[in-house]
Amino acid sequence: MAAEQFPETAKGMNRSQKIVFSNTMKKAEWKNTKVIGGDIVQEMKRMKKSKGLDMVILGSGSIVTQFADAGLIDEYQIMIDPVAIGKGTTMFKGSKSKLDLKLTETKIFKSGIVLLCYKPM
Amino acid sequence: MRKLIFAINITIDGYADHTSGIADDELHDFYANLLGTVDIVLFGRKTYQLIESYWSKAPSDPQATKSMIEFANKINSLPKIVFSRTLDKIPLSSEAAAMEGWKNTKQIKENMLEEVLKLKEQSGNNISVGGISIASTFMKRDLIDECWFLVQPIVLGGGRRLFSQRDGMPEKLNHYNRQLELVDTDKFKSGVVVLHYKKI
Repeated sequence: MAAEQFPETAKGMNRSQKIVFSNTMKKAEWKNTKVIGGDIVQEMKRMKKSKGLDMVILGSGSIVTQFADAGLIDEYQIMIDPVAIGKGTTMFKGSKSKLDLKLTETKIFKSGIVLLCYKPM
Repeated sequence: MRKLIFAINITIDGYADHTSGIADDELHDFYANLLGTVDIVLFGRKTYQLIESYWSKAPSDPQATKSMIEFANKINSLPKIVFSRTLDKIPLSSEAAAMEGWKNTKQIKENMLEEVLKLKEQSGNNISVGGISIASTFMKRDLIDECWFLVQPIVLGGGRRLFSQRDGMPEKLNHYNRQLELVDTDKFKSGVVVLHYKKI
């Protein structure tokens, strides 16, 4: 479906190396996908030390909280939509400690979306 | 018609917690300037008492900066309305009791929304509202014309949220989903980002 609507994005997503963090999923059908379970914080520390380009998490609240708590995220890019809603899932839900960040960049889109970029202090 | 405006500090993850933000001179100047556009302030009971307990004493606080004192003078001098069903009498500190703006507090117990609509129809400058709970109620009733979110460079992981679901709210208000228009943005040295929206 995405291949029709967003062909470039779909191509990029298909081509990229992907990792699914899961304790229940055994095997991923999507090509170039690896499943990792167990101690994902240790695994991420190991992955950060290995050679290669940067890694990105797109969404995925639960692993973001775990990696943020462990101090493993080097950059946060958050898009704020111009909409107020009364419910939903929160970012960093269940985070164990307060996280102080440094604002590095902002960008405003025509749609009214505001991009906020931060680094850990 | 007068505008009802709302400004609040909020963390990146959407929590409104007054104890965790960076409250420097730039932030106090922002709120003092905003209060310069209003001639009455509405409060929920908790926020009213919180603001009164500190800001009525701030002018005599040796630790207070010039910006803080300017903000204190603004908030202390404005007429106020407090919405509370539980307070019988509004308790004021001795400092606040000597200030016109605090003495000039009207308590409203019932028909909160009708009272706000009446105020909006009167002539005058903007009306400001403070307090997560009443601001959320007013927002969901489409009474807030403009709002400012001061996004603090902080992730908290828990706390009170704006516009969240509440017991006793009609279902359609708990499924609140409202598009806003981004008016402008600003940045403070502290890393606070100001997002200014208005009702579409």
